[in-house]
Amino acid sequence: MNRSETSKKKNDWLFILPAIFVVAVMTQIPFLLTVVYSTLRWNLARPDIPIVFSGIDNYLFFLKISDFTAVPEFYSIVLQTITVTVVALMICTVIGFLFSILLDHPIPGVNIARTLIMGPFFVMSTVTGVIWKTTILNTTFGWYGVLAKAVGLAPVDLLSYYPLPVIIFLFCWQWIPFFVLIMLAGLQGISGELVDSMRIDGLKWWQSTFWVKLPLIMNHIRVAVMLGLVFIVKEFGLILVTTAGGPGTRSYTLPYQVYMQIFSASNVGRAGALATMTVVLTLIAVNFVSKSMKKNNL
Amino acid sequence: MKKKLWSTMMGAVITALVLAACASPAPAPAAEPAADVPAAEAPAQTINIALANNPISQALSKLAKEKYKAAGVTVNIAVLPENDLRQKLTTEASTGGTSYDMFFIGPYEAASWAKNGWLENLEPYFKAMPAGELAAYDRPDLIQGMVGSLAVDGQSFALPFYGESSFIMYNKDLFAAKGLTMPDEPTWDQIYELAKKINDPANGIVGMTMRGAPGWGMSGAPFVTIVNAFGGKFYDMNWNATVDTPEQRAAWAMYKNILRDAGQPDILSYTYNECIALMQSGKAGIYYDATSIAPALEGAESKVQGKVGYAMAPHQKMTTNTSWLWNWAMGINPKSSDAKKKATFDFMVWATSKEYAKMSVDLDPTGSSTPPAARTSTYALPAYSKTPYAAMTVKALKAMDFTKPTIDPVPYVGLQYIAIPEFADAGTQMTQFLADYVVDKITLDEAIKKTNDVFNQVAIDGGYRK
Repeated sequence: MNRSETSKKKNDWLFILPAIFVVAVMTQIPFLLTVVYSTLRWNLARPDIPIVFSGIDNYLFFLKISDFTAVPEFYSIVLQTITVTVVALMICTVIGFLFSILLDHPIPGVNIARTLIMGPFFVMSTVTGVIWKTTILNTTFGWYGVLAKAVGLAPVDLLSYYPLPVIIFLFCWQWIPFFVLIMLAGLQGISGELVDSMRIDGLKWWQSTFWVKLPLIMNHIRVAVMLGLVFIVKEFGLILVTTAGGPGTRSYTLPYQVYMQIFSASNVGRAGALATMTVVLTLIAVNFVSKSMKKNNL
Repeated sequence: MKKKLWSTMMGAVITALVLAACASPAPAPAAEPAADVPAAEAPAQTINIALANNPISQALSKLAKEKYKAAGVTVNIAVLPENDLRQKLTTEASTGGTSYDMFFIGPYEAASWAKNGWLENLEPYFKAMPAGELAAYDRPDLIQGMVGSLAVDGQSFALPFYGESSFIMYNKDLFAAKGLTMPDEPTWDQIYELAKKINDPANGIVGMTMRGAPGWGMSGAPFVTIVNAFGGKFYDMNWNATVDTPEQRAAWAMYKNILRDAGQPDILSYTYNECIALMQSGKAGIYYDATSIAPALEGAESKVQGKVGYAMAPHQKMTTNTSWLWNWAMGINPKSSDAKKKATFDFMVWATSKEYAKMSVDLDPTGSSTPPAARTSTYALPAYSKTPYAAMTVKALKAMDFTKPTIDPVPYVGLQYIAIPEFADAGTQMTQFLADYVVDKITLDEAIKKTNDVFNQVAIDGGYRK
């Protein structure tokens, strides 16, 4: 018995080897190659220039500050990425929580309402972008333009003048359902006894909502925020089809900049460096969010 | 046990895929096609082609589906937006992919791609052509300026499908209503004044429309010709960036002033498709764009059919050669199989032939589907020579000089672009700064400085500066 158990334990690792291998190949090797590429001077559009090792030149290209009067492009893009992600996450959390409270009540038709509110989540982000851009926000043909003209206002081209707010709004429109889904699951998990005793103790609705229910679903909120962070940081299709990063680079995020470096500039080395920095920044952000939420919530 | 086998297999497959994807994409020099190019009766072939979503290419897609017959050859045509097409094909060519057998490109790509071995040399295919077919194809009839922009050392690497220069199109009704006249050879100052007079937002009338969407082949095209007209340039003879000059600043300001004071409301979302739609609706006074767009304005679905006037591309400090030269050309992917290459060549010859031009006029007598500026004989077709824009198009085509784009001597060629591989990126960044400046997100000083830095970086990275 004892002996067979040890030998079983000894051989256990053999069985998980294929799985480790698959995971390693699928996740780590592409990333390691990206790191390798990031140290090369390599422009696909110029096969006549040899591919050479260039150390950290590609990183310095983005990080260096040549003069302090103008903020280098990279830093403003990092700032934009942070702004978009943080603001979108906050709005998603707050509105998502309010929606899930609303949908937690057993009123007639609540199942239909729950299904409908999931709608935006199941629309592909590129489709979302095209629909909002052309049929709603267009100042000539879109609903927004037609309605604004009908009430006597001159419609402003929102995508050109307020690109970041529009992008944030669209991210929220798309991701709030996901937050609702998770938080609603948390609210549904609160036991009936607790709800009953809240009622007997005479708690007002806001007391029961913010003092009792909110702390109880904090774990769900943390999951939603973490996943939301990872998803929203890498969101790219929506930006491509709505503002295409514009005007200028005012709605670029890091993933969009990586895309432009490889598909517009054909610069493998710089795209690799940028992608590596994006991964590092995202990991730091996820750790930071996770730790700070744990600290505040014990 | 089964599971383990399965996951091991999966692992092996994925490893293979990753390794294949990561294999060095440095392209081998294009192999000369063997003298024994397979005959047309070879086994069934499917050739994949991507075209740009402009009206003339869309007509080709339609006619090819209806009329193109070749034994055992199926032609798959995808139509993509111009920016996407360009990125997709560049990635494909540079990494040696074979999802497309034909490259639908412009002279910008042709020159560097031919040198990089990303395009098949077409001369051996012409040599293998039966004499009768070759005579019917009549190579000298192709417009030689266009052929020249697609050749390296006299060897053709792509065939011009259609070409274009740029000129002014204006709505004669709106001009008559305000009692204005358009000079035959206007300056940008005159255009600006006229546009402001026509502009009437209360009635939904836009003074002038131009491409506003960033992209070197999008807003970059009209913009760089404005820079040339104002006497600006991008490099001096030592490849030092020269964006920060009074001439360039005047050009940047002119582009912004026209669009802000008299342009379309959603400036930055306008590609030429939106511009065409606006002009066709009769709600725009002036439109500066490609000569190849005129047929769409004279088509049956256009509200301004027969009401459009044409004038030369505006000039300023530089008085001639202020328009652009472009063509859409067809080249063969050297990585495709020999049989596919031959089938692709046959298709290209058909699409650029005299018969195709005639067929397209039969399809649409207004000429909106006919490829312009590719063949001299096209302008002799009775229906086509009567079109209102034919005379001005020929005049514009004759005025172009691809090799002398600016007043001062410059180390580059190309009219609405600089013919170096890095311009696709640098030019796109420039138009992004331009867009930023047009909607007041940055000042002219910042935009000029950032653009100048980009062009200096290109000169260093690309090894141009000695």
